[in-house]
Amino acid sequence: MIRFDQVYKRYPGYQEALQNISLEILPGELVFVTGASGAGKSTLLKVLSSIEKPSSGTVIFENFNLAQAKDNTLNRIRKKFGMVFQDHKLLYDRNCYENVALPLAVNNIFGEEAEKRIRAALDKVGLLNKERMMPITLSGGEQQRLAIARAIVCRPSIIIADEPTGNLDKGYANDIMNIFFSFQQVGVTVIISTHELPNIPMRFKHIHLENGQLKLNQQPYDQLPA
Amino acid sequence: MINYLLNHIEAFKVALRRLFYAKAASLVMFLIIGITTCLPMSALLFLENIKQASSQIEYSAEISIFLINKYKDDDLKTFTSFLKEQPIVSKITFEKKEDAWVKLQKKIMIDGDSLIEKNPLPDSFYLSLATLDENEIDYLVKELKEFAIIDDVLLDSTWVNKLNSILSLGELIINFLGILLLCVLAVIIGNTIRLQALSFKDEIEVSKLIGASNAFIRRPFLYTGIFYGIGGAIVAIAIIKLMIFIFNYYAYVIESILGFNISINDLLITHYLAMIMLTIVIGWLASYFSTNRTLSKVKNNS
Repeated sequence: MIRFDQVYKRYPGYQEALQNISLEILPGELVFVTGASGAGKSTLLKVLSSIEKPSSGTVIFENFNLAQAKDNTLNRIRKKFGMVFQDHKLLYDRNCYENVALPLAVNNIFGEEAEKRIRAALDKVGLLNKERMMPITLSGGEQQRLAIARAIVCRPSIIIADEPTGNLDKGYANDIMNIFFSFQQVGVTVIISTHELPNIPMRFKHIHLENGQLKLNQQPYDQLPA
Repeated sequence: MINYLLNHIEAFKVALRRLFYAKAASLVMFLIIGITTCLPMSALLFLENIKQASSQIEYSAEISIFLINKYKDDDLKTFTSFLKEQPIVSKITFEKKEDAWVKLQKKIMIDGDSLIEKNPLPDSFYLSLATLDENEIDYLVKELKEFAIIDDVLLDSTWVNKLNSILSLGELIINFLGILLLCVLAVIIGNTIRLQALSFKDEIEVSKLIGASNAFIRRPFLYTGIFYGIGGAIVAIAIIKLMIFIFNYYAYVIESILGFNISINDLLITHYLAMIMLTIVIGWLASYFSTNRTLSKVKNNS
């Protein structure tokens, strides 16, 4: 479980990016974080994934307060997250297979086990037949799928996707969303930020931010009080 | 432990790939390091050859000893036996003042007349020494001066001292030049690695985001720095060998005209090994500090 308790985030010289955010994300939930550009979505995800520390308040993940954790602990915690970015952040001097291999190397997983996991991840996103291709030769949608394969190869308990469909047309975007839905179905917590306001199904949690403030914290319908 | 090694192998492969990915830039880097390293090495080559040449010159230091005007024969015998006991004295020549006077008169006679009427010269000893060691010679001179029959002692080793001083100065200049150029090397390698690290900013960012430690991210850059060092050292060795070859090729022709050897000898293998080690260490250190700088920048910007 992830718990935010009265979290503030201020950047020096800027307005508060997050103001008094308190929320909970349960294991296995799929959460949409919505809001206009500059609403604080990316900051929320950065604080959540321990890339940024909050200015005040607490962020609890697996009994660790991320706000006070040391670098080594944060490195260990980050290994439990799978990160997907709008601009993919792929390594363009390595092929698809090697891109997916990077998190495994960070986790000291090599050899047959690594090979098995890489193939499974590429298969999951439909890129197994392109494992030796360089990312630059892939379409935008395929590059994002490759980024997802890299995010899932270490079997993370949480996937965080920052505007994963922002640069994609509708057809590719639906493909990507379906992949995320399939992860949630097998018990992975998925947190997706988007600046668009799609029709979010009631079965998913919906967090909406405006100017760094939490304006909506909609529980999935199966968790609503009767 | 095996995973740690595998991690290193992976970093090694990544570093190699980066070198091949930017072939032209890597080659230019090797040349810059090679030429920069080559400068102090050439000076060392020059100095080592001068040292060798000077050690082959047959030279013996000489001491002239002038005795007082009146002394007892026993004192002379004691002094002569003292000289014979000295291991660093290879040859003793005694010259009576009358003989010296005859020689001097021959030199200063003008139209059969001597310009000096009375013999001003004392009895004297001339010693040839079997050593050029300054300390041993100074110690002997000190002992000689303690004899009562001695008026003055003159040591003729000025030019050896001068040569030694010049060689020491040469060594000092080479050391200074070497340190200066090593600093230049460190800056060049560091800057190149920093630029390379910046061009891999995304990779560093991604690696940080997926929980990679700084050591993991730094590793390929450290290997790149080491490769730069090795590549540069190979270029430097090639330049020096080529320089020696060309010089000796022409020296062979000139030697037949001059009649003596002017060809230069190669540096010792230990010199080359030390140079390779040094460039590797500099490559490694420069990469370490520049990658750290980039890592902290990435951390601040993320």
